[in-house]
Amino acid sequence: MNTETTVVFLHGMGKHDATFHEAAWAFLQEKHQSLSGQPLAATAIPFVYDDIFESLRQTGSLADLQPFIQDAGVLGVLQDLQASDLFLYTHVLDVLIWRFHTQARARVITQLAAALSPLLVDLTEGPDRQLVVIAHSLGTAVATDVIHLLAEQGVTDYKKLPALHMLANVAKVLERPERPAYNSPPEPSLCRPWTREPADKGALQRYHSYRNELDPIPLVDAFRPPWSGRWFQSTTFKAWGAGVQPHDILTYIKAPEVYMPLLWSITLDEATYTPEREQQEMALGAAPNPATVARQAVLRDLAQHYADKPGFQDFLKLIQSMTGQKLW
Amino acid sequence: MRTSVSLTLLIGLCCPLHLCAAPPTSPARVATIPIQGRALQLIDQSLADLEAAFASDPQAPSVQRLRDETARNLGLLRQRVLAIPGLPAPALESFASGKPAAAPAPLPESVRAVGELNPVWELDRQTRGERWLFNLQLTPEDAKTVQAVLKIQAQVFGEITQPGARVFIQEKDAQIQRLAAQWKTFYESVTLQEYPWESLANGWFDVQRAITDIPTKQVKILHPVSGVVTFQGRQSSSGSPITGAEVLGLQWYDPWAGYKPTWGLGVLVTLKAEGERSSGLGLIASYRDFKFGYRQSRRLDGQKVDQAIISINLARYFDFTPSRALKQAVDKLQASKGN
Repeated sequence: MNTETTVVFLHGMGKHDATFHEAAWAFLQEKHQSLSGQPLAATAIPFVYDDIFESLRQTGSLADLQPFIQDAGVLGVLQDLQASDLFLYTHVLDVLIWRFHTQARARVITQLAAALSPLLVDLTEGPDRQLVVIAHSLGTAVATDVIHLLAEQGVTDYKKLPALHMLANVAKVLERPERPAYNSPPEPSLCRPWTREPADKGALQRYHSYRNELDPIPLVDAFRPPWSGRWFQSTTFKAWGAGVQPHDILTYIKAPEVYMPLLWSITLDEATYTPEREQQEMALGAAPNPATVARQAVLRDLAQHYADKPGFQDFLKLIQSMTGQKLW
Repeated sequence: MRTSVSLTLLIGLCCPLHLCAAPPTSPARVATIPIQGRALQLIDQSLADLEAAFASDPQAPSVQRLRDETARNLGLLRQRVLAIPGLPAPALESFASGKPAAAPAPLPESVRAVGELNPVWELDRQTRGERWLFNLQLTPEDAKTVQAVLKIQAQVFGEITQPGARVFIQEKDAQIQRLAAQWKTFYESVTLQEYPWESLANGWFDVQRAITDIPTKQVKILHPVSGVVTFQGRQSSSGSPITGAEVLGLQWYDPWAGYKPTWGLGVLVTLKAEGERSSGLGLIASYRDFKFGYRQSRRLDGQKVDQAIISINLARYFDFTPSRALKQAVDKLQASKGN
């Protein structure tokens, strides 16, 4: 069966344009070619929402947010960040806009839902159509709300989204009280695996969540849903990346624990993407060099400190710490 | 793997029911109505084929689960097809028999429920994937049962679920596209025109609001206002510029006209002007981008002064050429705004 697959990428925090996915996609293409001897017959589409945040960044400053944030801890972090020369403006502001600016969030959700919806319509062309969504960092929280909206409106009532891959999943720590990622009450997000009962509104065939143990970001209020393991797979691994930091999308994509299931869901090629082959790929991983070992120790300390901290302010403090220690 | 032949067959069979000429606004009927009789035959035949393939499959033990789940899904699908309410019996019988009905009955909207057949037909590929992913036994691709399931899937998908589902999901998609377009207009016409503290506050007030319910009014907070005095108490002099802020106000927008502002009302505080002891307090109303209001302040000698205020836009609209003072005030305000 010739499968026509579309792969959607959602970016994370910071400035991004329509080329943000190219390095990751080139790696996946190259890896599939080397593993299977075949070119990767799929189309990659980047979903960019940074332009919406950028339009707001130009209209105001971080200080404008302060009257609307009642949490003293979050306010303290904001004040520290503003005083810091190392403040990574876009990263924190993106998270704050997403979390607190209802209208910007609605604009992002509806724009991306309108982009994803026709791809779900295409799935009804036949069982030879596949759709895979890869979201990274802040993009995981965005994907959660986008997919929830589509499910709520009935776009996934008939064809579920075949596979969602969440790299550095922060959907739990960035959840809002009115729409929890998986706990209830109130009604949690429909961005979850379908229970296989016809009336169930769950939007996904399969949900993959990945966490790099060296990346402290997804550790804060970590994503641990009570879903059945049949359709939900949570993977942890250790990966450095090549000279980048452990939160980077490339670090995730280049881990065999990520690209093997990812390429399987893109190609459905079970002859190539076997568990044994995944073990072989993992054995090929290079040892970190001395320079990265030092950073590894710092990150491990951060990870230990922030592991399972429950609050949104801890998430911001962690970003601040990583910024201060130049770990981005 | 497309089953366009089946779809063509279905559309062809619609014609005796005089449904091919349905207006383009109701394509769902063409796609969804004829499935019931044919669907039941196909499902029953599929179940029989599945059992026959499984019974003669030498690899039966390794495909037991695939067979079970396929049979279960076919059963679910059958129940849902039978549960479609309100399908007129004559039309159904005529379809099942292949003969045109004498007088086609009006068809109820409820047959659109066919589109909600749900993805009960997705499991075979996912099951195989699951077996790989969770280290279970791989399903042999060449097993008779697997081949039978793939064939059944293509038929059922092509003839039963796909035609209705596609129409159903296209309608949902159209709703999403409209919603996104409305939010885009709202965001650009309203949110980005507000001061950041206003858009944040409005979002905060609307935090429980459904995303499908786009606001049509917004609260104004500390919204800078400039205008000119057109009438001042019993004195004839007018034309001094006023700057201040709408401390708290409410602004309505017209969703049918690109979220343009319509009416607004707010409490006004103005800065101390020349010859005044204190800042002024008043009310301001607006329509579109015209503003008009009332302000009271206190002069240096302690006397209260009542003033009528209009915005520069309104002043220009009425073209107050007889009043030199007013014209000068407008020019002065515009110069101070860098126009």
